[in-house]
Amino acid sequence: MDEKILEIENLAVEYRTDDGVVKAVNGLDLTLEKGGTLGLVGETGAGKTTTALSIMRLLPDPQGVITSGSIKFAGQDILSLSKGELRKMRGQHISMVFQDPMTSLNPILTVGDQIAEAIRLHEKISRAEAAVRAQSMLERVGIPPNRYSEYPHQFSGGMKQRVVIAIALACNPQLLIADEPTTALDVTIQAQVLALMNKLKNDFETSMIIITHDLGVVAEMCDRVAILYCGEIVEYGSLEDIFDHPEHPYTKGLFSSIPDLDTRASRLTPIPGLAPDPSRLPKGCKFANRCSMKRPECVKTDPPVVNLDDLHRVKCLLAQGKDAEQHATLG
Amino acid sequence: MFRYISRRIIMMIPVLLGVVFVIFTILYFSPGDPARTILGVTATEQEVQMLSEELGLNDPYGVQLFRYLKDLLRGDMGRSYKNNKSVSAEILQRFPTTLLLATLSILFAAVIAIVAGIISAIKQYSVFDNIVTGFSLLGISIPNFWLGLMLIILVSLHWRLLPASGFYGPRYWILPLITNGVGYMAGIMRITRSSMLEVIRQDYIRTARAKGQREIVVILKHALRNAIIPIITLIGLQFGRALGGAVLIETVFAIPGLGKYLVDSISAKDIPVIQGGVLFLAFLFGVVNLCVDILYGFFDPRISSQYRRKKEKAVKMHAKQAN
Amino acid sequence: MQSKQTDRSRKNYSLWLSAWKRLKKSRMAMFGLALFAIICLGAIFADVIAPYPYDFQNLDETFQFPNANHWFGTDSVGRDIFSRILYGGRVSLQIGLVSVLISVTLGGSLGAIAGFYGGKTDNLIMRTLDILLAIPAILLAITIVTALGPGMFNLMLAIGVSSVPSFARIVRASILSVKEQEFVEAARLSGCNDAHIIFSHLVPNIMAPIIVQITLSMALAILSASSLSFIGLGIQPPIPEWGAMLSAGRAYIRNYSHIVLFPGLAIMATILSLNLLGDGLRDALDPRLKN
Repeated sequence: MDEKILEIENLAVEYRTDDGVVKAVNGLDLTLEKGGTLGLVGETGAGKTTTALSIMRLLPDPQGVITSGSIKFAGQDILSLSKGELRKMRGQHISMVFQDPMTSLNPILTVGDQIAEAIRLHEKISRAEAAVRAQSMLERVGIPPNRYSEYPHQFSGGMKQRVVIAIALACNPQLLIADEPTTALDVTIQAQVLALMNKLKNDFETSMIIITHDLGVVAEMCDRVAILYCGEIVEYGSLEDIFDHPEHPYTKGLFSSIPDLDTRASRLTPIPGLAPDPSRLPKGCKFANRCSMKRPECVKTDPPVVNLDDLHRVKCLLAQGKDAEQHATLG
Repeated sequence: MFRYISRRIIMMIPVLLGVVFVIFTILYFSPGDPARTILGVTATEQEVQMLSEELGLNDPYGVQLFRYLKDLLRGDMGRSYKNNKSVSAEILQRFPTTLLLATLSILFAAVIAIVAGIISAIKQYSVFDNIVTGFSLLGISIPNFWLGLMLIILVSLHWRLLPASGFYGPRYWILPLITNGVGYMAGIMRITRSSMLEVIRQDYIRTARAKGQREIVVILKHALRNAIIPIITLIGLQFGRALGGAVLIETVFAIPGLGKYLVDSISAKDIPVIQGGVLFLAFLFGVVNLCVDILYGFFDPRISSQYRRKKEKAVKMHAKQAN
Repeated sequence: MQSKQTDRSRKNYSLWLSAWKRLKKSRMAMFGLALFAIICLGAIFADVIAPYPYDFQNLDETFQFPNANHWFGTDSVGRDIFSRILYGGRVSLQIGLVSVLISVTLGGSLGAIAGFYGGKTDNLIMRTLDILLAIPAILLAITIVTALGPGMFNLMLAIGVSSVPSFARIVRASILSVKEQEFVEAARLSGCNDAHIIFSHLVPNIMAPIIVQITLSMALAILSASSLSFIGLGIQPPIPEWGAMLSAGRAYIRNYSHIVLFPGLAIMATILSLNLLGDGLRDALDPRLKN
């Protein structure tokens, strides 16, 4: 478990548009162990998808720019790869499942061809062999292989997402990034797709990053969780750390804004306010304007990252002093 | 696919009949006495009456329309008032020139425009993109008959490089081709650019890139094929405009085609020729539209699959539910 | 209902205001607007600006090249081309305006009826218009002018009718897209009749595409008018029309190319200005479409 498949250090990404510069990711640190599953949680616009696209090097060109930091995949620096090396990496070593299955498949190619295309890009096999492989992939994701030559419009949303997963896993990648893979699906289908992903992940021994704003998905799938806010990780830890001992006020807010069957709280407490405009980020803590435990110094200085133990870390002034040793003695 | 094509052909028939009806009716009610036109001012009233009777011009409107339709089905478009020649024969002799010019112009324009439009979309806001955008704005706004005159002045009269009139070989084709082509090129460039820009942003393009596909294949296989429908639609429309525009371009370059034939007979009020010429060009346009529809079905599986056999559909529905 | 109404009109007002703000930002659209304004002013004040009457022939000064007295030169009978182009603008703009009015009224009502009632009515109207669409527009116009005879009003009618189908299609498509929205249902439930719903609820909501189409159609109409005049079917001499001037000047291009240069430039400038304006309006009125 100790081998790191992905190490992101101090990543910063900007979108440069006519209307100004949007700082989407600001100094993000993240690691993922081989075989692990990381949940990347945050509101819309927190920089989850941008982080994923940075790993794939698929940021919109020329607007999206990685301004600093490094991304290492299996020890190799992704940011220094050539175009050809990137192409080799994409699909073969790192794959991605996108948010909306309705639009992720090319409407004018058969689903089978779209899977076979992914295979033939990375393996020197004939068309026929690729077709056979694609059919077996369809089978693995629970679609009858005789639907190989049908077009996306003949499939339902859940089926399309299965096809997208089949494409992503066609070359047995080491890392799978799933960007809100179930958001666009019905609840019953969501469960099916998640179960399928869990099974395939185990079968293929794939490491996985799941991007979501659904804590239920995280609980079901992940062993590590990173909470993103305004392009920063405000809290990171094991599933238990985050779910049972959340430290950051934002994380706590997330949990109190979802209904809990056990306690049946009469009223949910949503987090008040809105995230700051990413083109004009405040100097201090970016969450300060919405924080119920705000102190005067929060708006003045950017809070440091506090390591609560080997894994669990939080970016909040309130956590200062609760560092590893004390946490150990207190806990 | 076969079902789709045959359905399209069947749908064309009432439209073409409607076209005959509309054109016939408009021209039927045009003022002037055809018999008088044929015989000239010197003929007596009696001669005019006799000829009218002979040509069936005194018959009621419905009878004449029916007779015209019947003759048309046999390929007979009547005789010219001016020289009594068979209109169908004259049209058949002239239309290859018009069709050739229209086809060449469209091909020439489409090939250049699609390539330029794609590059322009990929390199949005680049210098090349700005040039293409500027060219298409100007190209759309230039009246082609005027551009033709300007080219004649410059290339034929001033530089003496190419002939200014006639249509007797490739050397004669160049100026009409450019004259026609610039406007069509401008339009196709615009639509290619905007259509590609829209498609390039789609999620499935990102999916293709995420597979590790080469950029050129992403653009040609995944993007262009999805962007092609509006492009083909416009090319089809422009083909119609090229067929109609033959009246202008053939006048400018004195090309002996259908357009010139039409224009020459307008001043003489030679109704059978005008009627036949317009109908024939509309028919050609109909054929072009049919080809466009077939191409739609070829490029977009969603269109042709609407026409698959019902049984097959039912089976599929069943299979879908079973899953 | 009353307050809703005012709310919507306020929303509409701010919609137009923000559209104007976006339009102002587009340099190309502003250039088009300015050019079009200049052409309009030249046409409206032709009496004041033009140095000569449009039909004033000076047989001593035929075929003059552009000079201080005749900015654009003179033609085969010594008429001042600059003056004729100014007056020609009147003709072209009138034709453009009236023929577009004809097609908006006819096409717009047909499209609105087809879109609003749907079903058989829709089918009947649209299939009929398909027939008109199957005839290349210029050929339809030629047929109509042949039947009616040349002349300004006949030309307007011919051009107007030949672009009825495209207006009908656009209006129909727009009506279809707003018809199902809730405010239409609300109006129906509150007892408004169909005509009221169409004109006070649907039409204001589909103005954007119509305005764009009007601008672009006017360019097309002006081009068609000059094309028809060029082949001798449009405006008859001595009334100055740009296409007719080109046609008359053709005989002399060997030695006096300026005679055909300026009328063509005038057509081009007018069409360009309207196209630029139309594109700008499209972007400004529907920001989602902007690339």
